[in-house]
Amino acid sequence: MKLNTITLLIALLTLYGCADTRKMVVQCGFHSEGAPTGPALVAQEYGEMSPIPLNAIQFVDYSLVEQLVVQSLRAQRTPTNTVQVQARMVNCTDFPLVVGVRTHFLDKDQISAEKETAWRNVIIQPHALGSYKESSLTTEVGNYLLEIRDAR
Amino acid sequence: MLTIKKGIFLLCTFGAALLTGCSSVKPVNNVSGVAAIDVDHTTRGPVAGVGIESQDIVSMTDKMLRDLLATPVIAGRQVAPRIIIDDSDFQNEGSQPINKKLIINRLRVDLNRSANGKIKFIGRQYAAAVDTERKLKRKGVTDTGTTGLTKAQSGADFKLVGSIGTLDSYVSSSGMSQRYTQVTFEMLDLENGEIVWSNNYEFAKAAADDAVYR
Repeated sequence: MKLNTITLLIALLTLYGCADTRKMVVQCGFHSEGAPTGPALVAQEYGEMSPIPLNAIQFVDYSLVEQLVVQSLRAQRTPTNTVQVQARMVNCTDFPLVVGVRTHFLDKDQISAEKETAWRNVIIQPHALGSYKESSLTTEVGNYLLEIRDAR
Repeated sequence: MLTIKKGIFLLCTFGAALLTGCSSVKPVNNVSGVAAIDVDHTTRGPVAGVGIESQDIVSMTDKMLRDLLATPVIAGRQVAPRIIIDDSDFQNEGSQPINKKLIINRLRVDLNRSANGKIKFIGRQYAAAVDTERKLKRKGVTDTGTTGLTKAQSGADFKLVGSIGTLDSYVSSSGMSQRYTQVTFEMLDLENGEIVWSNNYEFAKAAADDAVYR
């Protein structure tokens, strides 16, 4: 009886130990359908009538949708009152990703405040974070839109 | 008779060998030529190597001008500073031959168009032309123009300086070559020598292609 109890305890502890395995490597979940709201993490196909959300990231390549997750997207004013956007991304694959990112800065009426920025390559190691930062040229910025593409 | 047969045999053998040799030569894949295509200069084109290319020039100048306009010491002054942006103190110390003006001119033009009066640009590279015209005006050969006379040409507060550096490596067994390129931009105070702003644009590329830069 005593031996059985000890055996049972060991078995329970072992099982608990297995169930408590911490996720040391980032795991990504992807939406398969539905339009994004807020900082967009899901690609949209051009030609669809769904509106492109502002202050968000638009995926240009569909293949990237299941490889990359945007963890955060922020904007702030610089000391000269221009706008700086910052995006932090996670590479969910087992290989390095080379993505091109650019920003459209729009005024409060959603008209381009300036020419879109040049494509900037961001290289993100497997399961690591990558960051992108870009400043506007003008102070008349009300909204912004980022584009991400595969730049390999 | 035997000699003729032998000769024909040798000739055939030689011909066959020649044909085999010819067939092993890699055919040129553009015998009929390749029609000109328009290429987006902001992305990598069909002819690409490990060096600085058009997309790099566009990207680096775009990054620098945006950073400059977000820097208070340059773009946030009560009185717009006067800046010289030319290639006289921008050195190419790398292994790739490149026209530095491609970088400098794009940066100056885009910055001038975007600064909106927050920065004044001095064309010191054209000082000789200005001097010639000033002398003509003062000798009375020409009239004074419409913008008036000044005591002297404008002095500058800052000057863009910098350099291009590269680090090359090559593996002969695979034919792969790799190049790390670092382009440094700095804004120098022309009165006290202080560097008030710095930024780098750096990248590394590897390829086995034989693109030639010239």
